[in-house]
Amino acid sequence: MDIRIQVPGGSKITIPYCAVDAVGIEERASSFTKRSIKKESKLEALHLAISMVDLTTLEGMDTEGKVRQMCGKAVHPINMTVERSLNLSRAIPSVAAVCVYPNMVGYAVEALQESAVQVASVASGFPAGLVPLKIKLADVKAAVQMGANEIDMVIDRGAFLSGQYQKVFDEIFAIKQACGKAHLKVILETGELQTYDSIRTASWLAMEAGADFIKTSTGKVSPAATMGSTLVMLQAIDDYYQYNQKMVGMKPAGGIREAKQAIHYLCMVREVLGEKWLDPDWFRFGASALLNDLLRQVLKQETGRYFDQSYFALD
Amino acid sequence: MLKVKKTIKMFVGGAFIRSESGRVQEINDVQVCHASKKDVRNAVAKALPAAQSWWKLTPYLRSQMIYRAAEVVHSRDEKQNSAVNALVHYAGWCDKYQQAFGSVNPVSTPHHNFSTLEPMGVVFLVSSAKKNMAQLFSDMGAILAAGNSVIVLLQGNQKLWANDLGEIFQASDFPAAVVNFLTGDIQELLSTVATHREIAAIAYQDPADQTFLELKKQSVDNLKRVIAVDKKKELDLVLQFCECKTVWHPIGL
Repeated sequence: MDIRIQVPGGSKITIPYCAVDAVGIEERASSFTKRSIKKESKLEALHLAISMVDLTTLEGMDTEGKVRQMCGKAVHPINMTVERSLNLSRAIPSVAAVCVYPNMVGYAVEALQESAVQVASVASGFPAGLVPLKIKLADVKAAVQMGANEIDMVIDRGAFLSGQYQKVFDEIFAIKQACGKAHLKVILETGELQTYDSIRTASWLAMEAGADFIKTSTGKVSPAATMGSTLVMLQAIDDYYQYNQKMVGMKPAGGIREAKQAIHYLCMVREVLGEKWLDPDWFRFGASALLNDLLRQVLKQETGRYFDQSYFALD
Repeated sequence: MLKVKKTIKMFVGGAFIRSESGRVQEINDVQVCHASKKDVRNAVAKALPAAQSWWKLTPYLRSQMIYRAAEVVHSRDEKQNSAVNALVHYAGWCDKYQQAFGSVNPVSTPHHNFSTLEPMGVVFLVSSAKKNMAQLFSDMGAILAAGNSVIVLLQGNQKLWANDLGEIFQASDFPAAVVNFLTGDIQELLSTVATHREIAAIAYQDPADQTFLELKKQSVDNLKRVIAVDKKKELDLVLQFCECKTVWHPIGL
């Protein structure tokens, strides 16, 4: 059933109901894992994937030191001396952004001020999102004030699943206003939405409410990003673009640990949304362990050898 | 009776798998998987974390597991005396080689200086078709007792052993991926094995073979040890698969 939503201070809009063919989605998603990407194309894809990583640390035990260290890695994913000694055919790019908790934003901003790497902060009562709106807004404003250029918010899944779509919409809408110039990524937590139909509806709801990006997961719930849920979201983005001529970005997060998986996702983006989206402005990977595997595969492509972990920074 | 065509699978990461390449070879009317370079890479990816968790177990527990492997070999084939002896021998060394060969070193500064033996990590054992099963168990025993994980490449007719060997180690409660068996041909895998920096050492059963030299040549990249295991005495062999760590600890004032 279509959902009618009242836009605060505006007209009523409709969130169209769309039944998703689960078997078809999974079949198509698995078809992207069977592509063979080799040599130059593989190297190109690996470089692109590195430039799309949101290097993430979201642990209760995060410290200033860990965040600074990670920021260093975000700018130069490989130690520069090692990189120079390898005579690579092209330089390893910086990642797109670092993603941290609000208390860590200040350190990240300071560490990254001379680079193009963005600072993303989770906010709005991450990871459950079960705090009053007033506190969510304060959380977001504080993160923006400390210098975050991107805000990763979570939707209230309890409200969504119990049919309070208006509440979910209003919260996203209000948080978008609170973001100001900062980009807003809306985390749907697909692992808790139960069905592809819900993922599709939540995607559309978030886009209507002003999301610049929609994101699969917090990384705290299993399953996190899957090919199937990402495909449903990509299709929603595509349809939304056809209706409204507005591009929305996509960020699968959690569970993408291997370069091979990242390339599968890139194939999927290329085929569902087209080349326009193959850009860090429109597609991101929320990950931490993935970066080292991407680097490892780049070095394998360039030198023909597999490097051991001691060549790569852990965080 | 209907003739059933068997496929002997490889044992990697605690599971019986086919080659990712889908290739098989026929030996004596039996199909055997033919490992590719990617299979080597996948096995190393599994064996590396396994090496760390194997070393974290207490030496006593490692010893029990190797002893259990000896029991399983014995229960399957009572004639495998030498194999059982070799495994029991190395099971015994797990909690002893450290006392016997670690040392406290005399130094003239106020330091407590001591050397301990630590495992290397992932060891790639290239078996020779000329050697028997007892020899294979003996070499594996040394590698495992030293705290390493092992990927064994079975060649020639030994490929037919893959199933049984996998079952023996699976039934011995070894953590997954500490022991792995690939079936294939070293000539094809040589460059990947030699240049892979996560393989810490290569053990070779037949050093008279030209391939041994070629492995040595290509392994210089990460100063990988390429070890001939044919004539080593039993205990020498454990030490061959260890790194020696020396610590200087300040004492007094």
